[in-house]
Amino acid sequence: MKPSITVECELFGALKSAFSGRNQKLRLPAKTTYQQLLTDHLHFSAQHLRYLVIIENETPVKNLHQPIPDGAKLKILLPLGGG
Amino acid sequence: MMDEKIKKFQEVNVSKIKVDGPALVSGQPSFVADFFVPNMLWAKVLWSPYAHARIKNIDPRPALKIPGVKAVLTYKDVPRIPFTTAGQGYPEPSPYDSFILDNKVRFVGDRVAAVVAETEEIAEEALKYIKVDYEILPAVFDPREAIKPGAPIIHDEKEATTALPLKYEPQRNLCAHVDMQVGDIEKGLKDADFVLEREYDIHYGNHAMIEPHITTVYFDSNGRMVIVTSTQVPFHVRRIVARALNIAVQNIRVIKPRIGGGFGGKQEVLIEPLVAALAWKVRQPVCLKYSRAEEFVSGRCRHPQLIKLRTGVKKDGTITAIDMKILMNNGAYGAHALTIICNSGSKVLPLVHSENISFWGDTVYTNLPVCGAYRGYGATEAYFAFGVQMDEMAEKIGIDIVEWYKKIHIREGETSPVFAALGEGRAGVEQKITSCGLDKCLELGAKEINWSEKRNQKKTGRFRRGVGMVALMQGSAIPEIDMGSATIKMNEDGSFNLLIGATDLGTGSDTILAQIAAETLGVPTEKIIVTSSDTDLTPFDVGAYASSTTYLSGQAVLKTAQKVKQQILNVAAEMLNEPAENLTIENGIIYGKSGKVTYQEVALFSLYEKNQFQIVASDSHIVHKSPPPFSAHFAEVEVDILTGKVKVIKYVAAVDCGTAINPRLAEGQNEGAVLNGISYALTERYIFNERGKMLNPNFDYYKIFSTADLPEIKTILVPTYEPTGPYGAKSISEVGINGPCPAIANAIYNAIGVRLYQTPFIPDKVLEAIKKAGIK
Repeated sequence: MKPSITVECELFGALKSAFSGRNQKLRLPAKTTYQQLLTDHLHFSAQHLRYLVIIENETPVKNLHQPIPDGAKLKILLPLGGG
Repeated sequence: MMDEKIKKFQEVNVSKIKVDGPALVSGQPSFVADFFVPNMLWAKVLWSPYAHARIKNIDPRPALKIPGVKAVLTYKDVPRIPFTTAGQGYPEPSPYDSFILDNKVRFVGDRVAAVVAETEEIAEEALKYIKVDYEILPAVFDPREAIKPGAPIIHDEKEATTALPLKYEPQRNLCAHVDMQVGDIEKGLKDADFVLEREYDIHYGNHAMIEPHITTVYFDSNGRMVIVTSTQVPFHVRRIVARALNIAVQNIRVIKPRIGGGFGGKQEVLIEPLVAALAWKVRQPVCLKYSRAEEFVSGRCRHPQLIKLRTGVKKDGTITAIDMKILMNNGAYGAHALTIICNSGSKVLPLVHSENISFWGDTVYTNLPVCGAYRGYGATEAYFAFGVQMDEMAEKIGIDIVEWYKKIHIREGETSPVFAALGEGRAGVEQKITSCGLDKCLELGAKEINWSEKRNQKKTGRFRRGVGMVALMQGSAIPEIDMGSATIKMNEDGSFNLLIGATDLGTGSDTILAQIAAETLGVPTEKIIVTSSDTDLTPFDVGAYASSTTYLSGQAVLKTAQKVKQQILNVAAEMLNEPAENLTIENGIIYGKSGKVTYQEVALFSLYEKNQFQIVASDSHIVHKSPPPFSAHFAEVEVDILTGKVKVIKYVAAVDCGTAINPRLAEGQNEGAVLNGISYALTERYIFNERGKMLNPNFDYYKIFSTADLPEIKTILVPTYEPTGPYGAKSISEVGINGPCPAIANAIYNAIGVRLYQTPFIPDKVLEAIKKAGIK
């Protein structure tokens, strides 16, 4: 049996309005990266990744290529504003 | 602590004369219309007479035969690239649903074709000769109908899309959606002793800026396109024109001269792509200016909203639930569709405490004129509903509304879950309030209007007076997104060039930014020469919107000036042979233990004498918070119960904008916003016929307040110190427009006992309400 991790994802703001179904608790293979989570499991388009902000423990995740720790609780948002 | 900081200031918190004032009052050529380019041609636009139609055939040949006509553009002559006219940060959250010209028209006043000719008159005449064969389509004008299955689809083109992962469903006329929940709204309503549910209807409004949209495009000697335009967003103009025409940003220069007002209307990249396409076609300079009628119909407007608001409150005044639902009409294109409706929640709901909040909003297309950014940006609409309902609820629970606001409003050190939940700011990271003078605003405003006495006066006779009020907040810039920057260089005489991309649209921001630079550099403001905004010469700035310039660009100027100051100290240290840390600066003179040198001597030394270099620096700033300015508005009105006419007798607006960098300009901003709001509340309205045509596109029948109508307006600046702002400053430009609709509605109620839930409060409607209530 392959080792796995559990990750909780919560979408905020306009993302939540568009994809509320993607608020979920996921069981992922160990060493899954933040980028893999966003594209392979939450199905965000690769071109949109640069605009997404992931907050873990009240700190923005800088490197999407690093593995997600087991038990991580992630908040994902799309900062928006325009006038 | 706050007072001590303010006392130290020399150049800020001082009412300096506007840096562009002398040129403007002496009539120097300053505006786009003053720029005459040799061989310039003039453009005119053919507008759609139909609310919804497909262009089956269009033949420009008869128009081209008219002497003096140089070109006619139709949809066949321009790139079919969708873009948004919303001048927002990249990538824009508004849908890409506009084309320079299209084969479909979506409202009366939409573009059909454009003519370029030697004179405006010839161009105007030529429009009559463009032959257009329309297939008229069913139209929809009511947002409630537009969202229903089977409604005419306004954007059925396959290219309409969004650049960001957002909910966008043009196949059912939905151009944006937002919802958020905090706590348990049903439990909150169940826990309440009083529940109030009402519907509010807020109307179309026009910016009515003195200078309509105007753009001139020409080509410089290197063949680069130069766009001289009346805009709030020169850098966004450059980027969006490049996209629409599929040309490189490198080949475009945008120059913003003085601006005759914008109020959000010039945050739209409205005519620049079309004028650029026309100039590109004829390879000659082209100018297009909107008439007043075109500005009304084919410019941009305030978004009308239908708001359902439900609140639950306990007997002790605790708010147990706030449930707000908004249906917003965006007109035929989706400019600012998502962000304005977000603002209706995020700039209103955090004002008061509640553990259970629900916010839901749909923005829909209709076949009516297009809405866009307008001072207040969604908060104006939502504050009408919120402010009126708070007043009504206060009466239900038997508490004075001023005292209730004091009890329930957000305070320094506190946060609101709404900041995070609506995506303004960083979710999961608290945005704490770090300055709040609302209590003082409430206290001073009530005193100035003589609240207690006038509120409880008996109302009798034909002319009945009443007072009403509302508490407000807004924001200062857009956190984590928008950026401003500045460059400062020192001249030989100790003066400085301040180069900024920030856009003064008549607000006085050039002056304020010069004051911030002067304060930091330790020189009089008169020593600062301001250049703004030219995309070739000045550093990037997102532009003038979101109440951002003082807070965002001001911080960029402050950081840049600090860098320049350090360079000056380093040169002076070398001249005086002392460590820089030992030196002090006062009024352009650097003092050391062994002597002193002037700024002029430092400049000459650095340029000509030793280790020569240009003292110059640039820096940028991005904000992580959007600290709200707070305000309390009080209106005294007189209602004629025989005619329904409402007259504002006195209006008091107490406002906390942190440190007012220039108190006179701050007062001007606030009074302008208040007058704008009073006019919107009492007289301004769009009148449409059954085919969606605006019937009153002029100032005779779309009445705006002028100085002749001016009531007594009193602004009270309540100083606080915002630690994240330049010298403690926050914004002031927008918050003032949010008050008049609710404050006047509440004052009317106090005068005659009739609640109005629909704006504007024109005599017919007020009289109807008076008759319905049986008031004599």
